[in-house]
Amino acid sequence: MTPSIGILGLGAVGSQLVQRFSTAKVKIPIILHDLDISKTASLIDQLDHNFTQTSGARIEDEDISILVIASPSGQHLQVAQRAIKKGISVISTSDRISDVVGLLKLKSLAEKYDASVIAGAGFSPGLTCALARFAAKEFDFVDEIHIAKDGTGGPACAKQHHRAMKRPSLDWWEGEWVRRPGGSGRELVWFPEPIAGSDCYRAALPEAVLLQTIFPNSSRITSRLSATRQDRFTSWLPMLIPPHNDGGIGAVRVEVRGRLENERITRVLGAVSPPSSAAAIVVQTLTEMMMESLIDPFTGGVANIVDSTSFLNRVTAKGIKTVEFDGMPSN
Amino acid sequence: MRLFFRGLLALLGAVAISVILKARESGTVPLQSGGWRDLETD
Repeated sequence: MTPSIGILGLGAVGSQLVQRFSTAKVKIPIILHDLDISKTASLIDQLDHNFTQTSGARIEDEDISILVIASPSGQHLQVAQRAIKKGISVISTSDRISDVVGLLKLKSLAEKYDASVIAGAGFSPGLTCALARFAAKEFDFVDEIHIAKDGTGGPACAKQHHRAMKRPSLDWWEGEWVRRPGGSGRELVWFPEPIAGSDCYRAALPEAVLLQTIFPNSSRITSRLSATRQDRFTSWLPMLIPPHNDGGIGAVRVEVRGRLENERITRVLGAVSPPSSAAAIVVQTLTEMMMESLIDPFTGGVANIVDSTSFLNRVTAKGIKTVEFDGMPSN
Repeated sequence: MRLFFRGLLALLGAVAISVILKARESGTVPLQSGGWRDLETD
């Protein structure tokens, strides 16, 4: 099959991904598709001739080898299933638990058709999983992983943030899956500057599902989402105010606790970036690694599939600021 | 009517106290994290 990329969904992440491919002067065919045809047409007018729009109603019917699904969460599973059956590898940016779990269940189908499925490829999950895997390299045994995220990308991401706050969380706790109410468990989390301190709460986030397969013997894997009081108290209502076009700067924090030579140690890593830009960089990096055959056919999250050191080097070079907490004030 | 004014006064008092406490808290707690350095992946 001729190497070519399909991008489904031209929202905040999809359109930035297209711009990044355009700036990188990628020469292979890139096929774009969005439900809003005018959005695709106006974007293609600004791009080189190797960017085209789909000729039919479905992007998976095109001659593509990799499909990036950047459409709103909840719409990924059926498209992915159809794409895999045509031998197309899938990268999904969805951070909805049902999408991630559903994509991971497509493992046997993907193996049958020799395709890769990367679930949760974004800022969080995605980059957070790679940071957790990287931090874990220093440990003999990983005991706990705690992830927190601040900020949202485009309107679809803001809607998913709102939705996640009212749904129960899914955490790995003492060897079993535990669901707790979304919006509970307030914890003041210190993110890298300029975000600094922010109250975070339990929410329906898929990090634990993706990381538990890598760290099955760990006792706790949890994830939290930062939210204001207004977010919390209005989470049970529909979104009353239309979401912003882009949420601006955001951050993630990954805390890994474990043992090294019978000593308990903690490592805290973080990243700062606008979430939509970070997600576009993560997807671009994964696509490049796939094209360079650095990723064998596999189904899983980002941390299952890539070498975390190489991946973090690439995303840092592309503009995501990755940091580690050492407790020493800079001034 | 007297009861209504007492209730209103109590409510305003509670709001005023929480505003004062919140202002004092934010004035004394330095909201600065610090201690982050660039991640070394070598």
